[in-house]
Amino acid sequence: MTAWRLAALAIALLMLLPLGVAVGALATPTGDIWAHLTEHVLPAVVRNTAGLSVCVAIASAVLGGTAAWLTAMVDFPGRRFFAWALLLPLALPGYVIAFALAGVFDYSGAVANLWQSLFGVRMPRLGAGTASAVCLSLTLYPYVYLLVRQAFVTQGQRCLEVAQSLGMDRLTGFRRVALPMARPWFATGVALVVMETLADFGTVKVFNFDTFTTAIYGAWFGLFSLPAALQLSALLLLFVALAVAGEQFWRSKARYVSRDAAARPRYLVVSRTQALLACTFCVLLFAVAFVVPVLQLVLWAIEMASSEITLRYWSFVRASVSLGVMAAVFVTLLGLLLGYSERRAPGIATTWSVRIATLGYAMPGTVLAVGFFVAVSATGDWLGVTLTGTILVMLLAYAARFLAVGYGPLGTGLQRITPNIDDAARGLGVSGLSLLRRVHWPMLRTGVATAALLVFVDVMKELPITLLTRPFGWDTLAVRIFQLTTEGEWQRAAIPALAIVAAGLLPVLWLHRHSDRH
Amino acid sequence: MLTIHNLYAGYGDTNVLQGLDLELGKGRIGCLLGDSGCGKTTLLRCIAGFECPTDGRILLDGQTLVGDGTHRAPERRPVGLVFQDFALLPHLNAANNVAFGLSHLPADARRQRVADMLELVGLSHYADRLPHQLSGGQQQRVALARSLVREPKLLLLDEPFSSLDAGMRQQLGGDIRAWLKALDMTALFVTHDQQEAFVLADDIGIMQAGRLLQWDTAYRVYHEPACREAADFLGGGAWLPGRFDANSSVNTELGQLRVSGEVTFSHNAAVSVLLRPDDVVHDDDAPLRAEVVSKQFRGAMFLYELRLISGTVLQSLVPSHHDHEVGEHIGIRLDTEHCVVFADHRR
Amino acid sequence: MTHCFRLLTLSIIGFSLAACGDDATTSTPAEPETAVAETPQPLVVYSSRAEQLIAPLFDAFTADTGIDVQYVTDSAQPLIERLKAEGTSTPASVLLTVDAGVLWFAEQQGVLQPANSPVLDARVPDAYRDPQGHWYGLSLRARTIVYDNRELAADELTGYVDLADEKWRGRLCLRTSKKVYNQSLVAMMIAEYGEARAEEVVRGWVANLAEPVFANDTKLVEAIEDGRCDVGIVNSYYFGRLQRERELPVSIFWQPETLGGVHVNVSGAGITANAPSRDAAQRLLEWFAGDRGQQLFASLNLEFPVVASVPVDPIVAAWGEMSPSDRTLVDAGRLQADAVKLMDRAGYR
Repeated sequence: MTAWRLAALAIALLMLLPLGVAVGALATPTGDIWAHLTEHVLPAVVRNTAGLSVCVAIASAVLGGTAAWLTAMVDFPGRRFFAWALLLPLALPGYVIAFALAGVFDYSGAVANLWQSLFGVRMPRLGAGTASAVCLSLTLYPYVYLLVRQAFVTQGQRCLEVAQSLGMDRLTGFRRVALPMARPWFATGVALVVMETLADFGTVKVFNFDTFTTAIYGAWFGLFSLPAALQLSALLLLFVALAVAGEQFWRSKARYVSRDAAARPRYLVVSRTQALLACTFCVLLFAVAFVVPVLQLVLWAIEMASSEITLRYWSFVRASVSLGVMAAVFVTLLGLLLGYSERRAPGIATTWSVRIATLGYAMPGTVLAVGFFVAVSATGDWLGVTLTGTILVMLLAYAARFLAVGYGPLGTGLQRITPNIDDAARGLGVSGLSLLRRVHWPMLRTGVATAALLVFVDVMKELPITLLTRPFGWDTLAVRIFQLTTEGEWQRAAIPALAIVAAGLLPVLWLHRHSDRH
Repeated sequence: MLTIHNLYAGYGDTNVLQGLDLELGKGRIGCLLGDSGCGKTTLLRCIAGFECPTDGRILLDGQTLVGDGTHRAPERRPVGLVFQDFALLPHLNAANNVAFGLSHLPADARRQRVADMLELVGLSHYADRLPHQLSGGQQQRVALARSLVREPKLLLLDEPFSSLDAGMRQQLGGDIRAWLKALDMTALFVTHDQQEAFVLADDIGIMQAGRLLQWDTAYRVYHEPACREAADFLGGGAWLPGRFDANSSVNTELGQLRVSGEVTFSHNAAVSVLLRPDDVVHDDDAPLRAEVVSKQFRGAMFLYELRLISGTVLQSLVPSHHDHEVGEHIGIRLDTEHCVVFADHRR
Repeated sequence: MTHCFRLLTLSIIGFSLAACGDDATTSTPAEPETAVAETPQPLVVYSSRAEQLIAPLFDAFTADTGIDVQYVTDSAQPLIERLKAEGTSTPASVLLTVDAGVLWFAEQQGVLQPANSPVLDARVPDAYRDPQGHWYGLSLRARTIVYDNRELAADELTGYVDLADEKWRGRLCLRTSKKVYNQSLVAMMIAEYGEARAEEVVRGWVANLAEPVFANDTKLVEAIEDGRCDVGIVNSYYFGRLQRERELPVSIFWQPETLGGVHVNVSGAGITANAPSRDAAQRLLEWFAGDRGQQLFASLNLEFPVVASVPVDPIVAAWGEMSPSDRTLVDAGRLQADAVKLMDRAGYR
């Protein structure tokens, strides 16, 4: 039992490294910078960040929840296709969809031209905040979709039946039974979305929207004050703590698992108009979140192919994929360790370990990377070895960042294995490793796959940690995008961006096939 | 009250229900008894509206629920359904679960109805508890109250006792029957457990492979089974071979037995006589002896399996102070006025 | 099921091996392709200049000198933190950036050492290098005015300060103040006119904006092309890149020498304080300052060589004579934080 607790503490400690560097910076005096920040920067930034988070959370929940309900429950033309297609935006990094959509909707873009020829006036320019919220929602809604769809597939049917047997029509049943039941899944998904939004830098940078992260980078890069940047990060963690607390609150109140999962999936038969509406919704969402940006990327890529594509692309792809796979396995294992600690040794120590260990997701990547780098090299000096510049450190940093992603689906999955199931299996003489293999693994499989997939895709897209901690020669596709976009070469960046999308597609499809069996 | 006529249902090529007819009177409690896969749950779901039959009609109180081109949506049927796992809403307390289907009522009326119903099922003190704070039996009562409070014309119960322990079943079964009778509620439930059927039901139907073998009062289903399968499924017992005699009697190794009802076979036809365990009585003075093959202790009674000289094995319920060893020969006699007889296909 | 489990186990083992393997090879962080037997220790460069703008130079340098170069790219500040964290065990001998401000900051943080190179001192003008030789500018990046030539003639423009005049109300486009190029432009204005006057100018700019500030220079030029504004401030090479693609109704304007010349920043480099290959590092910098290095360095990105005698790219030459400001770029670093605060105060986002 104590071994479990120690493991959880150790993982939390790992995550505490960058946090410690951030919080430790609170002690560093930063002169008049804070006075300046509180007067001229923070008010707008706090307002913007809070507004953006709320908007993106609501939009992702609505988009993801609707899409999940439609594809899990309703019979409409194209349902089977959209069930997996709507996951695809997951493979698009936010900064990529942002610059692609900016390309489509901006002055010289196709939509602006069309608008002008149709209405004879210029298309109004979308505000920076609106544009950021739209782009983030379009890239982040799949987190909600993926998780909530699982909930609806396993218990949506039953929820509707309960409601209908109590005299409610399907719409009321959806609102009053299915939605409340899916709350834990919604909570996890939305929490991930909010954390991603809080940490986002790429998207808001494309639209020049001032948020907490831009203020952090502003303090560091503009005011030359890393301590001030770290102090701002510590403050940002307050927002994160709110998101985490919110998730816990929403989750704790509802734990429902249908004891007899529906024998076979049944889809609601709806009127033709309704089916058409459902179809239209999915088509539009898929088009805006995936087809349009990808088409724009493809157009750019074709234009740039001859000058940009070289044999080196193989090494970018190789680096991206191998880092993604290693990180996915590593983070999933840590997530499992954490999940089992919480299960086997419940208590305040483990609960807080889990909370701390999953905080890193919302730290801006670069700050976390530097915090980690500083902490690790100090540890290395102390031990007398060079730790920095190794893959191991890179993986640990990825873990610090993405453990929340890996832990979410695993935690939800572990909840489904009730103590009764363990006891029942033990009563049948199944215990130890055999219990894990024959009982837990089949029940956790989907959760593990979800966790690993999310981490894989996230690591493929990840930039700051990769930039700072990669050993020589480990340039990834994301690094390539960084090289090109820092110099404003958006169009050339289309090619590595497409490669990231392509590499992300396969696991997304795999996940879909497996998650649907339940 | 509930009329089901020539009902067919199935998925794809498999027919789960194959031309089923059933009639349940007002205020009666019906039970569909059958092994899993016999189609009883499908029938229940057809009545509730979650499945759509491929043919046939279901009428409730003279109104067509399904059939003749109409299919009333589940929520528009005056039918309540208690789920096997109770399906209580985990985020609502007992009172709110019960009130859940009453949102059309004003708050005052709703509160009153919920309070009345909770009192009826004896849960007034548990109104504030969340489902996971309630025992299985209490959850069951909340689920029942939640359906009853809406005053459906028909209540359906899917395996109502399958998640409860045995002691609870007896107790709760009696209670539920009392509540339903107090409300003059018409109810239909499905189970695979005949004890549950006897505890709760007025009418029992025995289902096999999508057909209703027999639909009758509990007494008649037990004592006058319509076919061998029905007799085998419900009540148990043994089959004693014999030859039909023209005088509505059967000649067996245990003597001549009177046949009940209007059954006629050709003279000397090979038949089987159904002997329920309570038809065979232990009597130390009886001349007829049988060897004890096995015995089961059932508290007040022993259930003995007894082998006759011919090799035929009978069952007998014997008061438990008659404790005999396996292998012992004991005296038996038949205590039956009329026997149920079927043609013997096995020979 | 068992199959999946086995796969998982395999990947765990695979991962552990990979992790161990990497630990074992950290002492020689050499890639097979670049490791050459006769140079056991390649020259390591930390660069915030993008790979495509620097790799061809390293290739040419290696061809000329036989010295192998390895590099890691990232933003400048993380690289400086990395140098600080690595301390004496750093593999890097050269820090290369695209902004004088961070070079000044790097020097302040003590991660650079003087090059002590007469060659560099002679080739690189005083204004574009650290007085002690901690860093040297290697190419000039001009931040200048571009205008819609359908609406305006060159003689209607005077310079940066003039853009704050009321006559430009609703006609000016600017890029975000978060870009370091604007920060150094304002820092240099503080150095030239004092903080109060600079703030007045920036407030004037903000009042004249036709559109919310842009996230990048390319979008800004496109806005002028689209007729949404008449005049803007961009780095000349972004304009040059667009010009290479298509005919633009946009022209470039150089603030004349009499008004202080054109604001320039530099791409530059310095030798790290704990450089393991100091000599090679010095050779690289001197090579960059040589004629061949200068030409390559500038023309790769349509920039201007710091060595005035080296010819510019034909596209750049077509823009006419440019007189760069000769105010020392040390000020760009020294006053950058002040500039950022000033812009925050003035509401320049």
